[in-house]
Amino acid sequence: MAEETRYYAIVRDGQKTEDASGLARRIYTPQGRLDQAIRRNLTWERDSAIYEWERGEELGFSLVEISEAEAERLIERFREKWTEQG
Amino acid sequence: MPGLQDERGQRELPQAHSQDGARQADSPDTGDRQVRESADGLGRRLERLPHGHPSSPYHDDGTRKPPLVRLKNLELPLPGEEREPNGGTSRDLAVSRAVRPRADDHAGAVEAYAEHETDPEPAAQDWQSAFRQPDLAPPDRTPERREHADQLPTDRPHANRPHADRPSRDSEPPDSAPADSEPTGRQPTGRQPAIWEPADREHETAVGDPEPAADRAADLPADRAADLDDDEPATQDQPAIIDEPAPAPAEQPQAKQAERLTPEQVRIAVRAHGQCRLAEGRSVFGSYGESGLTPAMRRIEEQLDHGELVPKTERYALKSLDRFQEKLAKLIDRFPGTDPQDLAEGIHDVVRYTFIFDVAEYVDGITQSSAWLEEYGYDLIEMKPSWDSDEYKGTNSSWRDSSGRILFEVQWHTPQSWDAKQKTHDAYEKIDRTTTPIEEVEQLRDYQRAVCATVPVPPGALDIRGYKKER
Repeated sequence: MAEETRYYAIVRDGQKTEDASGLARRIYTPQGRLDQAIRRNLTWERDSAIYEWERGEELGFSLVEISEAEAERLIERFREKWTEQG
Repeated sequence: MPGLQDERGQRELPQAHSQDGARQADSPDTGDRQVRESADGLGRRLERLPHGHPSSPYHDDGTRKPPLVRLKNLELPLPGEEREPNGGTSRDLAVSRAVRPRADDHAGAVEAYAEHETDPEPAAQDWQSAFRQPDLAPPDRTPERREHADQLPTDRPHANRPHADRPSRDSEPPDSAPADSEPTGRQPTGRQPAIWEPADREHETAVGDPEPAADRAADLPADRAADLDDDEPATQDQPAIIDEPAPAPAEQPQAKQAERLTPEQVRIAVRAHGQCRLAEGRSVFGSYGESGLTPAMRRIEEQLDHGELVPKTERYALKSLDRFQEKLAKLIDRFPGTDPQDLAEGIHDVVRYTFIFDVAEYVDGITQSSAWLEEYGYDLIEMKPSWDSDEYKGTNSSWRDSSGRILFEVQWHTPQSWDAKQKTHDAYEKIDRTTTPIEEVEQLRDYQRAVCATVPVPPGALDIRGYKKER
């Protein structure tokens, strides 16, 4: 069974998706849902942002589901921004 | 004068000091020894004062007064400062900008949640739609795109807020305590429905008679006083600050999570946590006075028709520095391009409170306590009801204190939802840990769902509308 992946822009304080502060994804694996977020080195690592959002207890950020293409654009924007920041 | 008293026992008995001797001590040609002897003599003279005299080192009953605390030892170090061995602080003028106290510290924090006091008419859109969660469904279900956060209504009930007689924030001193602007009566003035409230509800405003605020340290009921000393294991998400003996700022960077943060990030965390600690209201001696968030919450509790703060509120009001640093480290990982200072200031639950209301009074309890929070000058930043969540039941909210600098959290639970939260806490912690195998995560989430399924939903709770203050 092919694994499906969903992407979520992580927005803080009412940011727009294109200005998202982070990016998360959920991969549906045979073992369960694997949640990850993009790191500064542009690798994916385990992260509980999606779970926290689903559970509902955490405040301060929101998730907005985006397409894979939008996720790629966001990653590219992060690459430019974080490279500038050094 | 503990230093003088300590020295006294290590010295030979000084000569009796005549007035001439005192003058001698003041003369420019006297040496250190004479100065010390003069100080020693002062200590001996203080010893001879009648017990109970303001300068006597003894109480009326002959017991020795506690050592005096030097004010410099109570200071929090500014960023870039190091605590000296004597407890004071030394200033490093070469601190980086990121950790230097900025002139716009306040403005920066406020900017993060910029206010719109002259909000337009509340939009009709229900904010609850914003809280739709990512789809829990397996991938074979039709994906559903989420609504964008910026489509959320920008309305705020400020125009309805009963603050006409409250000093404006701009007129408040930066460090003014909430108590400064507290109402004197028990009924929020001019109470109007808040935007998050169920639109079809009648909102009660009738409350009882006022009670004078009292010194919390002196007047804490026995059970609350016991809370301060209780050393039972913590059941919430961090050990209580009482378990940490009056954290010395110089020691805080040594906390175990510090290794995940850079030294600069640790300084940011220590400073942000220190500000929250001050806002919470507990003194370095472990007692409470009139000012601070915790005393204010207790006063609000006293004014409620129903409900109460959870047991051991004082114990758990302040997140430990360890947990704060842990959370900051997680956010820095999650939001790599965001200034850690902003992330630290945006952590809303360093100071937190939980009100419990019976199921029948739950919605009214939120209405009433929120009205009081606003009456006390606190600004609602976010309200998030989670009664439609299958893994967590309750309503969480974040508020900004009347200084405009400190965020704090208020949760509302029923006894059952609070119990479920306690029961699932360990599971929550484990799920949150990125080292937990995903198979186990799924099992733990099933467990959370099973526990939460037993929690009765209070009447009207599903109608509580979420709210988020526009930036």
